[in-house]
Parts: sequence; structure tokens; C-alpha cells
Amino acid sequence: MTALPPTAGTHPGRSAGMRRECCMLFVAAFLVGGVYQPLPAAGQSLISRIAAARPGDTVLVRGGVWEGDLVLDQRIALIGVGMPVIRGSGNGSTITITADSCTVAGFVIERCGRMLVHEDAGILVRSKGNRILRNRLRDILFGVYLFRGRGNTIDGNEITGRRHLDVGQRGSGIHVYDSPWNVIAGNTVTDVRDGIYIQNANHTHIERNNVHHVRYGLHYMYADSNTFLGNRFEDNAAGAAVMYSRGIVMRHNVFARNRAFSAFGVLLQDCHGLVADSNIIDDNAIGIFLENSRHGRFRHNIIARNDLALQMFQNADGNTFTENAFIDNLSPLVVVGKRTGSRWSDGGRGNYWSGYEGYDLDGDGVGDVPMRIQNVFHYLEGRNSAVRLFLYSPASQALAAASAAFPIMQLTEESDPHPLMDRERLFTGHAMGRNP
Amino acid sequence: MIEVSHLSKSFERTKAVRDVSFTVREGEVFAFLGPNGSGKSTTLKCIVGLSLPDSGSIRISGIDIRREPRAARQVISYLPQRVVFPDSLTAREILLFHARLRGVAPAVVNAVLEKARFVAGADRPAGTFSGGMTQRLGLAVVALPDASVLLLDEPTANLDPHGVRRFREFIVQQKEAGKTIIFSTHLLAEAEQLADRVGIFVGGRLVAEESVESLQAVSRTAHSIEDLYLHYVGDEHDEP
Amino acid sequence: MKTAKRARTDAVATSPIVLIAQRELTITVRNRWTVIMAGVFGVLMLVIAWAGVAAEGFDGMADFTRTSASMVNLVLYVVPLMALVLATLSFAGDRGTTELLFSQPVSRTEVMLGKIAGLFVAIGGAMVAGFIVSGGVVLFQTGTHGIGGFIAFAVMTLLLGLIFLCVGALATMLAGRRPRSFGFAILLWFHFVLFYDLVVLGLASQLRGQSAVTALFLTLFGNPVDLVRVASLIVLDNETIFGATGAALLRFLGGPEVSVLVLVVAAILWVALPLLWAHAVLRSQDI
Repeated sequence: MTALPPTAGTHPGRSAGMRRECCMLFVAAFLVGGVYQPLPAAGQSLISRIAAARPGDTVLVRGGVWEGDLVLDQRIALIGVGMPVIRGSGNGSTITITADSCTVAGFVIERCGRMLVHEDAGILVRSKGNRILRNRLRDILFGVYLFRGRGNTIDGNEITGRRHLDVGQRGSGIHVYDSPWNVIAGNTVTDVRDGIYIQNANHTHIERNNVHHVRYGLHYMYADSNTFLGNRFEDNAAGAAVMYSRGIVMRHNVFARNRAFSAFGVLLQDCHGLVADSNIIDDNAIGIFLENSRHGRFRHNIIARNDLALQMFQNADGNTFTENAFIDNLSPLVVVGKRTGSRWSDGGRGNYWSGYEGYDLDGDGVGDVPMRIQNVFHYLEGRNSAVRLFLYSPASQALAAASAAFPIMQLTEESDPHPLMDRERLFTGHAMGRNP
Repeated sequence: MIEVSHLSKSFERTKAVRDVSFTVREGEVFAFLGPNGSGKSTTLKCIVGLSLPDSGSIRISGIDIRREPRAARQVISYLPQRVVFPDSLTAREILLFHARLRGVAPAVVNAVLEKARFVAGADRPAGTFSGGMTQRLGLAVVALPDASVLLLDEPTANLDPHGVRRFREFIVQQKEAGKTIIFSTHLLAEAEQLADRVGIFVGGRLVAEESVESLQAVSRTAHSIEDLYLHYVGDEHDEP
Repeated sequence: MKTAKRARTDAVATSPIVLIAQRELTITVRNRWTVIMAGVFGVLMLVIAWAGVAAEGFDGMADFTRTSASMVNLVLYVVPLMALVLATLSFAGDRGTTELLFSQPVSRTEVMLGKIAGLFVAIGGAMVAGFIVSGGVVLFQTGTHGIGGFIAFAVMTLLLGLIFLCVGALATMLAGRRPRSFGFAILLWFHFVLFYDLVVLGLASQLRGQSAVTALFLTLFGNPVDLVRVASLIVLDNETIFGATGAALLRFLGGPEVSVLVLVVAAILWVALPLLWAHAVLRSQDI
């Protein structure tokens, strides 16, 4: 099973009008095939209808409140018409899918159990090739939990966790464990612990999700060859923490206003060969945090208004930063250790730095003097992080001025030999941070 | 009225005042006569409580200046050597300030300004004053609170003849009003002319207290004021 | 002078401190240097406010917190200097003026407190004017977001001014002569604004471990400029501005609110202790 299921008709379902619901219903029924079950008479329980269905059937469910704790143990499509509510008992998962290739679409799914260790979720998926489409999940511990299931599509769902719980007692919005080849797209996640949690899941495609007001927008480890496109991680304690993974591609994502203590827009640990392109990293405590992540390429990103744009450990070696815009960050770079071995320009093109004070006499758009990225204060900050307490102090500015005036004060080698002068021309032809 | 006994005061290297004792009676005008640096100013400053004595006691109307400086200063009006007023304040503002500080009705200020012939200059800032105007204002400030003791440090130094005459008139007036006055001077004539008694300061010591009459007798025999001082110092010259 | 005796009234009994403060205020307001410094302060505040609005950050929004963070810088340089210079001008004033004032039936400490109060109203008025004008510009352009922090920052700026008035008064009394006290004031300004932090930064780069961090926290209390800076940045931006170190500091001091309180109390001690010291010096000093 390598082909991904088609994702037609999966626009993010913000306004679920009746007409559109019907339209979706027929499309879904057509796609699923099998026997078309008419809408049931009132009073007939959903559990008995599912039990009565045969593999390949489509079960249509009308608006209203239906008892949950459903188990889909054969291949059926459960389609809601007019956003019917499936309400769990408060024990276990509201819907558990154990059969392959099921569909759950168009429901409000609520009130699952409270046990983190039992993976109590709105929808718990333990099989392959299922599609979870345009549902609204609320009052849930985990939203959608993929447990050893490959090739699933989770698209257009709205997931809202239990805000009244402590962050530590909540589950993830979308939890993917040991499950490769899944598509997670167009979901909105809020008020959970981690927005999207990925572990041991190669080839996951994460696109157009909005995650806000959670602990980690994306919590991610041991998952190679993954793509993030056009996601927004905003107002979280931390944006995305990506760890122990290879072959990651990030494009057109927004990481903004992630501002808890030492919070970061993007944390990369042990992620070698990453490609980060055209992302916006705005107004975070730390923009990008790099530890032991080598040979990444960062291009066309906007890194703006962060307290600290880049924090890099010495072991984050051989990364390339070109044609990024570093705008109005309080500090551009803190290196923990001696030097990073980063390349700050490629092919004669460096980055735009709003703090650059050099000039461009020949008018080629590239500054004639190198941009010294760090001053003595940044250097000291790398040696002892408590030095940050002297941020904004006249002493720190005197050090900055001194290191600009006297090369002997230049204690670090991080410099951009080809700083770009004009940030407007930097991104011409690029759609920044928009959903593609 | 003013009792000073065994007053001593030294600064870092010099002994400015050495064991000075004297008494000034109520209504008496007492002059400190002596050359520069003889301890006149320091003694005056000790009496008003600006300088803190090393030893000795000072009582004004029976009040110890060290123990109750505020009560003692209620009865004192002091004019520093070379008085200066804040440049930007007007004569009226300066007098009003002192009036309020010492509980004098603000209405009195107008009378005082008139009396000191300050009508035109009353609302000019002190920075524009001539030396004569500054002196007149200084005397007005001293007279304002109607204190019973006036302490005046070198009041005629750097004055033109008009100023000197004005000061003499002032002393006469204040004496008639019953004030006890101490002023310091290095001019023999001034001391003879205005004072009832004269204390002669040489090298930090009060070497003599004389009535004006006996001083005049001595001064007739002296060729110069230096001879006068030497007369009082006697054989104690060249003391370290 | 009989008229004076008759007109003497006990009904008018304004506190001498208030009288001296009023007079000091008048003198200070009429002083050319005060006007120049207040003008410079106001103009710079306005420039920052205007630049903050005009520069239009990334999404065209420069709110109070960003703008006022730049103002922190201005305040840290200018306010201590202003306060030290004015305190020195006042306390190392002309000998004749000083002697006349201290010969009045007023205690020496009252004279000192009155002078400091007058100077504080003058300097505070100048600062408040600067804050209102610049705050108004930002308010008009971007709305009231962060205005609470801005006001708290203004209050802390006033506190900084008061601290350096007291420190300046003390320094002048210790220095004695006028030229020396001006030199002393400039030295103090360099010390608190620059040298102290530079030395601490130098030490911090040599030390390692938790004890170094704790030591660094404690050094904040040795410099009122640091106290006001850290407290201002906490109330203005948010406590995350200092990163993990900030979190550690807040934990060290007992939470965000308590931390600001601790820092402000420490700053108030920087008013009280110089005053007590100055009081002691003044009591045993020849005027």
C-alpha cells in the first residue's frame, strides 16, 4: 500500500451548510462505493446500524445526538448529514476504527474518556487507509490517535481539547504513533497539549494545519522524509519541536508569537539535511533553535521581531543561510560554544540584516562590507546565558559599539560576507507563508 | 544673651578657633575685630550652628545651639560673608520665602521692600542686581524676621561708600530696636564707630575684650592696626 | 521693624520642607540646564514614539511595548545624568546662598528633603510631560495595547530619577567642594550606567555554573539602573524577554509579580539608604 487515498472534497469545513453537506455526502458515497444505506428511522441506535452493515456499506447519519463508543470493525463509511453529534460515554474512545479503509466524515465527536495511558481519543485509529474528514472534535483527551496505522488521511477537522485541564493532563490534537505514510491536512487544533504529535512516522505529509494555544504546536521525533507545507503555528508555548529526523522539508509555514520562557518558533535537534524554505518566523522568544543539526539549508525565510533570532549550539554545524531576512530581532545570533561553521552566504548572496550598517557603493544590492552577525555581548551571552539579564543595558550597547569600532574586540567569526541591501527585492515572486 | 565658653574648632590642618570664651549682653553691639583667618567667621558660624565646634558650649538666650539648633536659630538672623541669592529669584520671591519660613505675614514683605527702596527692582531676578542691591536685599532678609540676635559676617567687605553708610544706618536702627548684634570686621574704625564692645581675634584666639573707649585709647598709641594686634598678642608671637 | 513684630502670625504654618521644595522647584524650572535637558528628553521620547509608529514593524504595528522598550534605553542614559547634574547644581550651590538657608530655623535634614522634593517635582514634571506626549503619539496611532506597562514604566522612570537625586545629594555632601562634586557626579554616572555592568559582564564570562547565575542575579541589586531596567522590561515587554535566565530570575525572586515588587522595593531602598547616609553626613558636617 503505497498510493495515498484521494483527498477530493476535503476543503476545510468552516461553514458547514446543509446544501454543501448533501453534496459532500454523494461524493463520499460515490467514492466509497458499496451499498447505500438510506437514512434511518428515528430511535434506531447507531451501534446496531453499524453492526448490521456489511463491508463496503455507507451509513448515513442524520443530525441529532447519537450514542458513541462505536467500533468500526469492518470497512464502512460513516457519513454525517447536518453535523450529527456522536457522544461518547466518557470511557474509552468515542469512535475506534479497527478495520482498514473506513471513512468518518461530517460529525461532531465528543466526550471520550480520561485515560491518557489508554489512548482515549475522539477517534482512535488502529488500521490502514482510513479517512477522517471534516469532523468537529470537542471535549476530547486525544483528538485523532493513529496507532500503528499507515496511509490514513486526516483532513479538515476542527479539534478542541479540554481547556479546563492542566496542559500536562491533556492529550495531543492529532497523535501519530508508529504510523507511516499519513496525510494530515487542513486541520485546526487548539487547547490540547501538543497540537500534532508525530513519533516513528516516516513519510508523513503535514499541510495547511492551524495550531494555536497549545503547548507545542508540533512535537515530532524519529520520523524521516516528512514535509510541512503552509502550516501555521501561532500563540503556542512553542512552535515546532522537530527532533531525531532526516530529510525534513519545511515550506511556507508560519511560526509566530510563540512566547513562553525560552520558547522557540522552531526547535531542531538532531535533524540533519533539513530544507527550510520561505517560512515566516515572527515574534517568538527564540526564532530558530538548532542543536546538533547539520547541513541544513535555510533560504527565503523571514525571521523577524524575535527576542533572539537564532540560537545555535556549536554542534549545529555546516548549515547554510542564504537570502533570508533577519528583521528587527533583539539579538541576531547566540552561539553556545565557539563557532558554528555556518555558511551565511552562497553564490555571492547573503542575507538581509536589518541591523546592517554597511553600504553598497557599486549598487549591486550586496553590501560592500561583511555583516558581523555577533557582537561581544552576543558572544558573552553564548558563554553564560544569564548575561541576557543585561539586555538593553548601556554596557551591552557599549560593547556592541566597541566591537563595531575595534576589530580586536571581534571575538567571533560569524559573519555574512555578502549582506543583501534590499529586503523588498529578496522575495520577489515568492508567496510568503500562504497556504499553497 | 549670647554665652560662648571654651569654644574650639579646627579644620583639617589649622586650628581655626582656640578656646574662645565671651558673653554678649542683650541689646549690646559686639564687634569681632581681627585680620583675615583670625577665627571671626568660624566663631560666628559656630554660634549659628553652621560649623560644629570640637569643644566648648554656645548658648543663645539660654538655648544650647548643639542641642536645640532650631529653637536657637529662631532668635537668630544671620548674614553670611558675601551673601548671594539664587540668580533666577526676584527680591520679592526671596523675601516671601524667608517670611513664610519664619512665620512673618506676607504683607510685611511689601513694607520691607519699600523701606529697602526696592519698589522698582522688587520683581527683577537677583542675577541682575548690583552689589549695592544685593547688600540691601541681604539686610532686608536679616531684618525681616525681627529676630532678637543679628549675626553679620564682614557686612561691609566689598561695599562702596554708599553701602558702608547704609550698613551703619542699619546697625543704628537695629540697636535702637533693642537687638543684640555681633558683626565681624577687619576695620578698626568700623568697630570703634558702631560697637559697644570689641573682641579682638588674632590667630584663632580672642586676645582681648575691650570697651570701645579703652580700645580707642590703645589705638591712639598704635601706628597701624597690625601694631594694635601685636599690642594684644604681646610676646606670644610665632606660636605654632 | 516694629511692623514685622506686630504682623507676625502663627496661623501660616506651612511645613519648611514644602517651602524649600517650592523655592527649589522655582529655581530649577528657571534654570537653563533644566529646560535644555527636559527639552532633549522630550524630543528624544517623541522621536522614538514617532519612529516606532512610522517604521511600521513587520505587520505595520508598533505597539506600546516595542516602542517603550526603546525608551527604556533613553531613560537609562538620560535620567540618571539629569538627576545627578541637577542634584549637584543644587547641593553644591553658592556658599553664601547655602549658608543663609542653613542658618534658618530649619533642620538640615529638612533642607535636604525640601531640596530633593523640589528637584523631584521639576525633573518628574519634565519626564511625565515627555511620557504623555510620546505616549499620546503611540496611543493615537496604535491603540491602548500595553498602556498599563507603559504607565508602570513611567512610574519606574520617576523612581530612577528620585534615586539619582538622592545619590547625587549624598555624593555632593561627600565630595565637599563644587568642582570636585561635578567630577564626582560624572564619575557616578559612568559607574552606574556603564562601568558596573561592564565589570559584571566581564566577571560573568569568567564564571560558570549555578552559583555564577545566582551571583549575577545578586549583582542587579548593587545597581539601581539595573533594577529599574530589569523591572521595566518585565512590566513592559513580558517576562520572557530574558529567556531562560529570566525564568530563573523570576523563580529566584518568587514569580513575576513578586519579582517586580522585590525589584521596586530594592529600588526604594536605593532612595532610602542614600538619604539616611546623607542625613548622617549632614548632621556631622560643617556647612
